[in-house]
Amino acid sequence: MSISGLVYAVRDITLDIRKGEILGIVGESGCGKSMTAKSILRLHDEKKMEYGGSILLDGEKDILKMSKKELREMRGRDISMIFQDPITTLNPLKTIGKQILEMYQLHTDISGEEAQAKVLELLDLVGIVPAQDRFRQYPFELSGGQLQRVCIAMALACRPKLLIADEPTTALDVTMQAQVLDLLKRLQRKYNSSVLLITHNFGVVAEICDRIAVMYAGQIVESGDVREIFYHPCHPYTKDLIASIPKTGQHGTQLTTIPGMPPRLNQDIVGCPYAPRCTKVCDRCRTEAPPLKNAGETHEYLCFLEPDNSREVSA
Amino acid sequence: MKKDKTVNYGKFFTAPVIISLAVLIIIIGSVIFADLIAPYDPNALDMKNMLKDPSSLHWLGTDKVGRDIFSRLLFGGRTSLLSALGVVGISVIIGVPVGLLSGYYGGKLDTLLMRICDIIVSFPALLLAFVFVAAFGRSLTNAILALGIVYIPMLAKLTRSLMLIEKNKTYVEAAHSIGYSNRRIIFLEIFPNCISTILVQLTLDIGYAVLDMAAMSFLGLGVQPPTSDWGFMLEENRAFLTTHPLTAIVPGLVIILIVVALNIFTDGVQAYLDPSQRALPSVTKFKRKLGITRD
Repeated sequence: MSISGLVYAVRDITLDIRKGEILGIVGESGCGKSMTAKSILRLHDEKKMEYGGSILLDGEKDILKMSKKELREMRGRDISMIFQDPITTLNPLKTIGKQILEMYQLHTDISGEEAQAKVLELLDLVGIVPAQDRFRQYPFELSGGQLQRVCIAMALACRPKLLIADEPTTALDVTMQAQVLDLLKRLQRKYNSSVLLITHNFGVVAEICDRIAVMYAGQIVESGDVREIFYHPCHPYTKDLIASIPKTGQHGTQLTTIPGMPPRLNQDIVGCPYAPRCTKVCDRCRTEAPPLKNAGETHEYLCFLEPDNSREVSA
Repeated sequence: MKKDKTVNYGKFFTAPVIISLAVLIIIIGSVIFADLIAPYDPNALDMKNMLKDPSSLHWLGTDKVGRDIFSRLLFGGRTSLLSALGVVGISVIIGVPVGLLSGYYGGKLDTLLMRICDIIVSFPALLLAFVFVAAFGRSLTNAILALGIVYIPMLAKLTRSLMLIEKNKTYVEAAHSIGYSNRRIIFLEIFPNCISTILVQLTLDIGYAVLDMAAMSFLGLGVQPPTSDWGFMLEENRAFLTTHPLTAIVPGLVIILIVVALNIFTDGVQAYLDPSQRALPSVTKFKRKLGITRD
């Protein structure tokens, strides 16, 4: 709720993440990516937020119907999360080793020494070496990139089924970004976890994701395999997003942008939410909600344009 | 986990901490052993020797009825420090949890607790304490309870505001995301991050409590004569400030000394509680320059 009333931050979303898959959610700021991610763990203040629909874990347990105790047990063990800024994610007063240890022992019955050995192993695995010394260091003694590794170690400590990474590289410099993504992908393969990666950076998605969902104004406007989306985008928004990725060799030319702003989400949206900014807008777009269309086995999008037609335009 | 030489555990005993701790130990120690140290009975009247200047017989002189000021100071410390600790203790035990819960949960609980605090704050502190004592009877215990209650809102509001800042930080959200319970988050994650600010308020409160207790005693609601008390001595001897200033200045100085020592000591504790301040290289370097650290 905001001062101006109810905000529909996320509307009619259907997402499925398969085992061992990395799904990327892409979209510009304020389109509901983080909202969606935090909803999976029910992290929003339920006095101010209302959830609708269902969130199924393993295809059976509905997270929205869990009791507080079940929810606490599930968090961290079945689903865990990595946040944007690693520097503020860790408690400044506790050593990093202690923080991972406490979290690990909460979800397992492993005794002190064994658990500590496990934590050291984890630190070693994410490249925080020498783990013995790092174990006793405080968050302020490590750099942002190292802290994000610690967060990854913590998130993966209990081998969760799903790892939600909310813009895990946004606060890091470019060389660190590549390393952290690499680590994430390597560990995801090793543990065969599923990952939900939230980002506004198409480059990040291309690097490690299997599938993409593009979000706009709280809706998923297009989803499909990475290659499909990259080479044959069907929704005008996806096309515009891809067009606005800066390319090398473009020196001196203006960067491509999408004019306008995403719509405010506290009012009802009539027709297609992207209509005011869309280059291929027609009269129907402004009055009628666009239908969900298929452009291949796994490729879906939300627009009136035909896939072939639009593919032609994009070519 | 054993201590390891490669890790900087920081240094707690810096020069200011050692000095302030020494002052505190001397004052508190001599107050505890007042029986052994005091040369006279603190309540013995000696009309022949009233308002004497310091001498080898009476180190700090005597007051208007010839009581030895040094002895009264030692015994007065007992009532003063105990009552100040009592007042602050009550306000901490109730005020801090109230602030933490109120800030964390918000909503109706917050409104209820904070309105109760507002009601207490809306009366002049001492007046309210007088009312409590008047209602429950005159005694030192009731005076301590009354002042303790009056001190609760200040601490509760401070703690609440700290909680409001802390609870929106990412580490709290992260703590939720790994399945920590609310209780654990409030008391083990957030509270340690509030301690250092609360400590500063507490050391100030101890000074205020000594003075407020004196005001209560002055009106006959706290310490009952002839029992001595630092604040009470200050009030009693105020009338002789122009002719025999020492009688009032000495207890005043002791109060200042203990409050300043407590403040410096708390600064040290505060610096030690924050791991980033504790091991800050420039601080270490500075200390090294002063020759305070051994390494």
